[in-house]
Amino acid sequence: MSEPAPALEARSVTKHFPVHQTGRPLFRRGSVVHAVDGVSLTVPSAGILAIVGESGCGKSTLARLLARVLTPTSGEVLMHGVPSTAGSRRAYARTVQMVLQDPFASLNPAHTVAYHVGRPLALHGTADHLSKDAAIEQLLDRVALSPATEFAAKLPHELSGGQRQRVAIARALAAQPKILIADEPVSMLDVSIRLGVLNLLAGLRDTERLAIAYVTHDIASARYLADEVAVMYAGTLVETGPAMSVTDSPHHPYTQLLLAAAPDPDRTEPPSLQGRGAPPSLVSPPGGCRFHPRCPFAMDVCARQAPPAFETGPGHRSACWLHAPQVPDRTPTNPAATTQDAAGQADPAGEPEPGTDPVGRTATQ
Amino acid sequence: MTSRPTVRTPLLDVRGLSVDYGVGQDAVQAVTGANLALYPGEVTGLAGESGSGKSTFAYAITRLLRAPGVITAGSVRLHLAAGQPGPSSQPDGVIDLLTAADWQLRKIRWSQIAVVMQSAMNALNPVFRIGAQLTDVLRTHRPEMSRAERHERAAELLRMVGITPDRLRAYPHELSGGMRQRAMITMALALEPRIVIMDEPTTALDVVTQREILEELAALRRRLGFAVLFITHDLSLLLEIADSVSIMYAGHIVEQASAPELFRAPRHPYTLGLLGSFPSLHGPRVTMTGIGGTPPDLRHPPSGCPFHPRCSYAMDVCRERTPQLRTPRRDGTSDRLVSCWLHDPVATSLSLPPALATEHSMGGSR
Repeated sequence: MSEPAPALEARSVTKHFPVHQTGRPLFRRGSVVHAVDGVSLTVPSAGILAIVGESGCGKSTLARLLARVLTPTSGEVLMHGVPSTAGSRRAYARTVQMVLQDPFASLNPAHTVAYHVGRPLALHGTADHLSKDAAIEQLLDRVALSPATEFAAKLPHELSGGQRQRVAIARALAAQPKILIADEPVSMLDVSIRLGVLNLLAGLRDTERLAIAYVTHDIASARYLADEVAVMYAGTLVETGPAMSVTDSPHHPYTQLLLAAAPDPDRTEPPSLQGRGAPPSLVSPPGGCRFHPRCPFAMDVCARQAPPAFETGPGHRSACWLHAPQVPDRTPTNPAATTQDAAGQADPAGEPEPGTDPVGRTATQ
Repeated sequence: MTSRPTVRTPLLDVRGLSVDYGVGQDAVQAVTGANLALYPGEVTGLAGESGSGKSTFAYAITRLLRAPGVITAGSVRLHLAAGQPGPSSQPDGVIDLLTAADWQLRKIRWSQIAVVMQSAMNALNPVFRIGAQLTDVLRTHRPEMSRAERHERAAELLRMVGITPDRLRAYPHELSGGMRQRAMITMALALEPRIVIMDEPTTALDVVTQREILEELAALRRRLGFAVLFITHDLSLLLEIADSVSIMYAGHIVEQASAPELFRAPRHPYTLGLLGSFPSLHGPRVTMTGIGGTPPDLRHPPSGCPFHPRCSYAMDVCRERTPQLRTPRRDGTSDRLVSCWLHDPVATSLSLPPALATEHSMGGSR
């Protein structure tokens, strides 16, 4: 974490969407989807924060909150230490820009590349010192679309997926933002060209000191690209920390599950999954820790009280009662983990031994 | 890994399969001279990027290809089980699916070869209950079964993949994505086929669900012994679950090897590049480059080797002539195959780039 004000900071941000459940009276009040609940995190300046989670965990909603596309139900987003709602929406967009998942949908098929990139230049007036064409070419060069003059005249259907995503990034850069929010920018692209786009983002961080929030479901790419990783589950943040630290020694049981399930050709035998099942309904999420119905280490306290984020290492936090310095009651309640073994092994939680596989370490049968 | 006896009879033997989209001058060659064999109880992987022809391949070998797709060459020989009253006209129980008549295909489809399609959302009919769709297969292929027997069998099939039988009454939209995909898999296994073709079966699913389904699939395969053709773009996943892997690029199969051989010692520059496109979950963080350039437009395929415009080892010959799939010269005795001029058996004076000449001790033993 950088000492000056982080590029973006979310302070217990919550977003609820109202719903009307089927079979219930119309306009029944009070039913909400708890899409994001009490999430606090920071995007370091000139750094990349990866927000990792499965579909439906609220990571895209969080990205939209950070971009001020959505207004939080409660909590606030600070940009360089200033509440995001301080200025106008457009002034905010000048600093914080988004890159969306699907470059086939986010570009208008009827307009040329030059139009897409030139539009924000006109709207934000960021290219006054240059002619518009020169500014467009400069932007296309920055995202390695060369020869720029040739690309500027093309229509989206003449481009490959990777090239389209580069156009989308160039469009975001046109506003001269300090912060980029990329929502699954490579998941629609062919595997062989994904790294090219990820490396482009890394280059923007290194050479232009851009802060980037990279939203992804692919924890391996988060490890590759990000400085910091935040893992989300069912609308809550479960673990944050330096990318290598989170992926090499995950502390939260859900992060361990996610890493165990990820494809890994280096693996010699099939992984053992601890905590099978599916995420809960976000209309009526479970009380306490949202992972506790699946968690192999669930204790009484997990069902009663949502765990705060406990410091488990340098800059590494895990929202899990296992890592609490002292917990009133550690009796495991989940039948999957009622053996003494599991409770005993999970006990020295504060400092998991480095080098041991945190997933394998708790194999109980 | 399955230990292979010296002579193995493939269940399904695809030879020289070529598929065009369109006819005449505008025809696009989607698959060119592809060879692939499926062996009993093995998982054969087919990996490639979008547009590489891997799904076209699956459609062609099952004769599900629709116009304007045209199969222009090749054979798909299915070895029927011994003693099985099959629709074969030949005494040795071999039938070429590409020349088989409709009535023969009707008997083979689903009872011998079943297919699990990419999107379970679209493959299930939204206006019929899961139970109706499951028993439909049985009603057609097992007319002797009673209604109660069919229902019992459908319930049993769902239990096999961990879905409670009360879900038979559910409509597809009432199931989660993982459950829909499980229902598709049970449907494919309803008649205990010997071959299951899976086209990106887990691509739309979350990693945890994907892993659970793959575990269930592995357990079912051990129990029922069917062969799987697993088609995906996710090479890192394929290397974990497949016995042998074929890499497809622009309609050509460019490399074929056992999964560990391919992972530890890739021979084709494209395979090497593809392996370098998946960030690892271990070890120090290194900068990876993926593969430069973009996959070719098959309407205007490059001359010679289809990969040469993106290949960092390209030579003059690569631009002129298309390499054949053959044993690389440094792996003289193994049965792995690669189509790359660098590995040409006669070009012994050519020195190999170190990245493509890695030793591999685990596999390759005959």
